Amino acid sequence: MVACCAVPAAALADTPTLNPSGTLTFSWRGDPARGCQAAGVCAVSGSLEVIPDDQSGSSETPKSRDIRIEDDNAVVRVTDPGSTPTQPHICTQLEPVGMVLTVVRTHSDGLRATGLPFSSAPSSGDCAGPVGSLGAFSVPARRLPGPTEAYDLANTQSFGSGPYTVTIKSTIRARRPAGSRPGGFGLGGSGSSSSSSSGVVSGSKPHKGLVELVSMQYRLTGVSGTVTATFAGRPDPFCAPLDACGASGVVTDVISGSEDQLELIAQRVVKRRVSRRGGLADLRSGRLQLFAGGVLLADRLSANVGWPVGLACTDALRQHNALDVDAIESRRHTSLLFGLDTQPEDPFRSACPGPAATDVLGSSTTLARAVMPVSELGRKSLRIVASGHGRFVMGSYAGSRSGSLSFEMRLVRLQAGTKVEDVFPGES
Amino acid sequence: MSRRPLIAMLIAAVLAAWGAPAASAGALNQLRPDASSPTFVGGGSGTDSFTEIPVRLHGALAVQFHGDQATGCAARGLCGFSGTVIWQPPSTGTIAVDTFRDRGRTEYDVSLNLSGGEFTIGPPVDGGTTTADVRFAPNGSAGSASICTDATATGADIEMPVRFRAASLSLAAASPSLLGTRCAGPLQSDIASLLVRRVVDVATLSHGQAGVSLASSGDFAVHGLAGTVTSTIQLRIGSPRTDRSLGGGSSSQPSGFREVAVSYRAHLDGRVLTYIHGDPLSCAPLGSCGANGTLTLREHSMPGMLVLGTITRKRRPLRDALTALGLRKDGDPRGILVSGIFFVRGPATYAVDVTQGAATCMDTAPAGPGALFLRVMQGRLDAQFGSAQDAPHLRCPGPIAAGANGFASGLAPIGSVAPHGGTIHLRTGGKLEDDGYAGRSAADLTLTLSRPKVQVTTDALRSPNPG
Repeated sequence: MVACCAVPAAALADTPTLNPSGTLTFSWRGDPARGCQAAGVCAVSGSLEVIPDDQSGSSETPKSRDIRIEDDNAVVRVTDPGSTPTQPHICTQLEPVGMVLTVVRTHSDGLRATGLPFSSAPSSGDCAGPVGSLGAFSVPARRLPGPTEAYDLANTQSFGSGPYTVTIKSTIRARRPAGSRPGGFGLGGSGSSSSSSSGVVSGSKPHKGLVELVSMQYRLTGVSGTVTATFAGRPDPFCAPLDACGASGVVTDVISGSEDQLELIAQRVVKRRVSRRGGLADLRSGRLQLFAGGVLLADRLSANVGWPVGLACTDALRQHNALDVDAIESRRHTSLLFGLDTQPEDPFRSACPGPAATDVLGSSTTLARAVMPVSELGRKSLRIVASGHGRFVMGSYAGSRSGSLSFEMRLVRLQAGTKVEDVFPGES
Repeated sequence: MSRRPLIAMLIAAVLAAWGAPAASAGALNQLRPDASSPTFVGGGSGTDSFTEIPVRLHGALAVQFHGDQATGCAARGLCGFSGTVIWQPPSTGTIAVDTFRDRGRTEYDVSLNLSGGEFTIGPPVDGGTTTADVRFAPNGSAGSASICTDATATGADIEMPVRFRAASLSLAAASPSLLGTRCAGPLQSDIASLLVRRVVDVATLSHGQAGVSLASSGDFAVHGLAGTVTSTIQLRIGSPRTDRSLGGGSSSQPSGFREVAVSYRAHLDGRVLTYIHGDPLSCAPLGSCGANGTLTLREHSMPGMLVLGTITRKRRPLRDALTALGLRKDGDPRGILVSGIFFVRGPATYAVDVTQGAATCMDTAPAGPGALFLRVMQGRLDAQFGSAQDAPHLRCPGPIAAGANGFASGLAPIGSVAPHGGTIHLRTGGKLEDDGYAGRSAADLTLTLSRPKVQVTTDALRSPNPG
């Protein structure tokens, strides 16, 4: 760290980034016209207020029209059913926000600022609210007069999301501080520069070499599985922050379909040509390096969460999760790990309140896993059963999860042998 | 002053100066001005070994409180408040053990870092999360009833002071304060005596695989608030990873650098007033609608060491660095970053006065340490002051100190103060924008500098004990 910061910077002409001010307020409430009655969320209303951090010390190269909206102190507050002035039921959660509003000129609407969630998208967190990111929106932008570049993003707009109507109110203005400052700040340039240096290292030119390669494609058939999380509010007072005292629920994720092709590739640099049979033998004995593959699985999530006051919130939606395939790290690549992953969507997040994947899984992202010896690869058919279970106590909730996923794979293509390819020095 | 803090301060100041406003509570908390010898990322020079021990945390801390007549809630306007504050730690953290030699003795810096260095899915939270649910039900006509619900990131770092090779761990040393939200409530110092302190031998930490219980419970009644504290927090210490190469003069580190450090005896005096009011757009969930108040910080610091410095390539003329530091006029200062820091310790107090309707909450408390960050821009010395107090409203409701909330700053020509010392007035306040609150600070602080001492060190980043 010391070394990195001590190298005097090249004299890059960094440009100050657009500095936001104002607020961005996301609010939502159950909407009868959107079926809040059936979902049990008509009495739900919530908000997330984002006050962007000052970016006046940040710079960028090259200059862009990106406005960084970052607020580590943003708080979600949701009023739950049964709330009264004397007996409030409020779910409160810290929900840091990091996103970019990019100002672009469109043919039809002129200047617009489009939201791109990049690190932590605005959401309702563990409280009841719309599913998914609230950050994918677009508001009109107006260039403000004056010598410095500035935009006014003031706007209010509403849209539907599940049983909720969401309103986004922006009073954001963004101004680029006058003058660009030299990057020669002496010890490495300015702090938040988005400039990037070339990753090319001298002397790393590739050369032509022999690569032993095995490629196989399996068709997935008969995918079925279920992931279930059951939870309840922790004892008072630990249940209080998320208004979970007396709440309980179950979230079930039924996995039924998928993309149907899984491709696996393994290779290594060799000095002699290898036959198809030899390549497959090398793969099965763990001599080749396996490259991860994966498929998206379609699943149907259903949630049933009892509010503390006795009503129930129900929701059902379709989403996708990933089945990742990785070689288990070892000197020899002798095992494959099949993991049902929480990406790209949180398998526990619905319009109802309840723990998120981070609460249920901690720092892991895997719901179920199975390990298979690589010696099995190349067989005409494979059957794999992945499973996972555990208990959790996090935030205002405690509970358990269990998951099982079975799938069959039928080999549709297998190629093995040697190819001439570009090889980098040191590549094995 | 030993070399170790000097280098660390410079690097800390450089990094802090990059973020604007520099003098944020967050930056301050990372600098740990209370630490026996301030360190920063990289361990500073002279580090013999740096051990990281992964920690798993379970449980939570709960504080339930109410206004207490017996301890003077009426005088403070706290009688109508009652509520619950919960601190939920992250599930993982790291104990960092920094072993170094100082004046011939082996010393240790140990801390529990909960700022989430490991990759996790979901939004990053710096430390644990504190959630508050506080009700205000005044007697008679003294204002209307309201509810404050809030959540903040707290407890990113817990300093573990070492004495005779034994490190003591207590939630009372957490920073930012585990109870710091925008709602009214007790201070961390009010419940410190109820938070258990565990002493762990450094050797035990180095071996890892141990359990530490911070579970405790008890009642408190102090400064107008009373209630119960319940901690169910447990730590499971994992296997350590030690890096012995840090600061050891590795040949892979760049050579050919020169550090020029100018140190002054300094002190800071004066006050900063922060005027706050409930923000009509966001006051409702915080119960701050109609609130008006003043937060007053009075500083009268003890004399301490202010260090201003720079690091340049060795081949660059020394006069360039000295010119950048304002000590000469015949060099070329372009492209040289000058930055510095002054840890402000000593008598400082906060006084809070927040009125809402007919109810007024008043409180006072020691302000704790602060820091002054300095940098030179276009020949002018820019000084920015920040207090380590994250919740300057104390036991009353009010805004929290965030990076975007300016505090006090001032400018002076570097050439007029650097060669012989002098005074810099910090009279520029800042705008305050926070959840539920808005406001502005007005500063009247004076930084007084004595005559400087100049120290030049070559290969400053290569050797553990240069010069």
